[in-house]
This record gives sequence, structure tokens and C-alpha cells, in this order.
Amino acid sequence: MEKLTKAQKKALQKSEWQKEAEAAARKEQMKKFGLWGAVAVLVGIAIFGLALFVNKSPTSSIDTSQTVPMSSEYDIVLGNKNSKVSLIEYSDLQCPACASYHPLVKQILTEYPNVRYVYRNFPLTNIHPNAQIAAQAGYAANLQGKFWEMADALFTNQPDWEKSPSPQTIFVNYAQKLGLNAEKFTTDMNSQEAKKFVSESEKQAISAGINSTPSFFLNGARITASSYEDFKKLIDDAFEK
Amino acid sequence: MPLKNKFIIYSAIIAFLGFLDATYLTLVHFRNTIPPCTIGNCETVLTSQYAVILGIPTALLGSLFYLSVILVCLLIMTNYKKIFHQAYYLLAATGLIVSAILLGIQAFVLHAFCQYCLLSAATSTGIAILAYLHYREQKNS
Repeated sequence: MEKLTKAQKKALQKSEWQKEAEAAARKEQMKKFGLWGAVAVLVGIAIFGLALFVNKSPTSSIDTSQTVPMSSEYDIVLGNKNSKVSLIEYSDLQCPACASYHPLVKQILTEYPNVRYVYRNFPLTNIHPNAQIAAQAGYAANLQGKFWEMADALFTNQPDWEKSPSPQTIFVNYAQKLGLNAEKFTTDMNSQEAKKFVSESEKQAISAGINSTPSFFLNGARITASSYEDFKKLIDDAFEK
Repeated sequence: MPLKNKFIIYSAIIAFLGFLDATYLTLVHFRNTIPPCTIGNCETVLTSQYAVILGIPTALLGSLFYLSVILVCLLIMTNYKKIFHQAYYLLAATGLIVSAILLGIQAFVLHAFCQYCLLSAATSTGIAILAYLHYREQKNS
């Protein structure tokens, strides 16, 4: 091997350094690409997995082993009373979950005027201090044929009265807005009949094994549903049977 | 990976958790279902008027926020520019403020909490703390 001159040695060294630097830069670049790629894949998998999970999670089901009576003297019945499909709801006017389900039920009543809808009071008075009197307000409004309108007002404005020390005043106000006879409404709401109606329906709910609100039953069988589409499917199936 | 980025890496991991949480709620929202709630009346929160801000679901905003945090963290890790750090601090502060407001709405307006929202408040607070630690480290080095 020939002896390299000083200048040649220097040049060789320089080109080696350059190569090393380039390789290092390439390696760094690959690392960056890898990192971005890995995170992109991770985010993609996460979105896909969640979508799959949300879609697959069972939202509607029917349980024929748990049943309730189709009618009782403490029912508030709306819709077509002779329908072959009965949707029964055990509800508490002060329960937030019931208020969340209220728009779904409202939509069902609008889209399916042919369904017999039964509202049963199950006020959870231990945790909802105004549930009892709210149910009595519903009873009083029902006597004047406006139960659903009153339930709508109560559910929609739940935060306004749930903690109120004098919810009666607020309820009378709703009654007036709905065009009810306020005097009759007040008397009915505070009557012994109203108290009995609510406490009896509560007793029946307990003996039927209801332990939470809202609880829905289709033709007597327990159903779980968490969207309008879920209800729609179950109701359509019941009509087709 | 230089060790000076450890807070950034932690931020990205926490942001990913927040992203999972918020994206789940977004999907549930668009599916019009009521998610399973185990504590504190989360139905009330998730179906309240505050669940949608100017027509955009709050959960979707959360998803985009966490995705932005992940993005900015990656940018800092791979391209160490000052502007990315500033964006990171800004995002972290915004997350903290928005979380505080949403927490306030749950406590004082709705009187109800939802576990998914509390988790999101925790993750965005975590990101804000990490951003502060990172800022302090940057200042001292």
C-alpha cells in the first residue's frame, strides 16, 4: 500500500466522517418515521377498536323471565288503549336517568301513536325528596287529561324543582302554563287520593321486583334499551309477532 | 430519545388515555345512546345542554384536544423547535381551564357528575402539571 500524503489522509478521514454522519442522520430519520408511524397506527387502532366496542356492546335486549302485570288500577295510560303492543315504564319524576330517557319515550309516543303506553309511578323517595309530591302533581294533571304535558314540564325542568323546599308552588305554576284549572290542580295534588295513588303504585312496583328507574317492559317482559333505535326495533318486532 | 423529553413522553401517554375516553363518549353521542353510568347520574351530564357546544359535541372537542396534544408532543420529540413548546404550553393551559369550567358546570349547575368527564378532567390536569414541570426544566437548563 502506498503511503498516503497528509492531505489525502485528511480527505479520506473527512469522507468517512461524512458517511458516518449521513448514516446517523438516516438512522435518526428512520426513528422519527417509526415513531410517527407507530403513534398513527396506535390512534387508528384505538378509534377502530372503540367504534367496534360501542357498536357491539349490547344495547337492547328482552328478558321474558322478568314480567310485570299488564294493567293495574294505578296506571296512567296513554296512546291506543286497545293496542297489541304495550310499553310499560316504571319511572320517578325526580330521577335524572328517567329525565334522560324522557325524550326517547316522547319520540316513541309521537312515532308510534298505536302503542299503549303505561306510566307507573315508582318514586325513590329515599334519595329523591320531591319525587312523591311530583308524582302527586302528575296524578293531579292526569285528572285534567294533561299528565304527559305535566311529565314533560317536570322532566325538562327537573333541576329547577328537585332541590326546592316548596316544589308545590313551582308545580302549580307549570299547571297554569299548561292551562289547567290551578285551584283544582292544587286540591288534587295535595289530596289523600293522590297520596294513596302514588304510594300504592310504589308498593306494586316493589312487589313486582322493580329496583331501579326507569324500568321498561314491553308486553309485560323486561326490556333494556338505550337509544330510540333500540326501542324502535323492539316495538317493531312486537308488532310483527 | 433524549431524556430531556421525559415529561413530553408522559404527556403523550396521558393524552392517549384522554383520547380514548373522549373518543368513546363521542362515538356514544353520535350513536344517540345513553352510556352505562356507574356513579353520579352521568346521564344528566351527557344529555345536558352542555354536552354540545355551538353544535359540536363537547366530547368531540375533547378528542381533538387530546389528539392535538399527542401531535404536539410528537413534534417536540422529533423536531425540537420553540414554537412547538409554546403550542404545548398553550394547549395544556387551555385544557386545564376548560376542564375547570366543565367541572364547575357539573358541580354547580347540573349537580351531577359523570365518571368519563371526571377522568378527562384528571388527564387534562395531569398534562398541565407535566407541561409546567417541562417548562421549569427548560428554563433551568
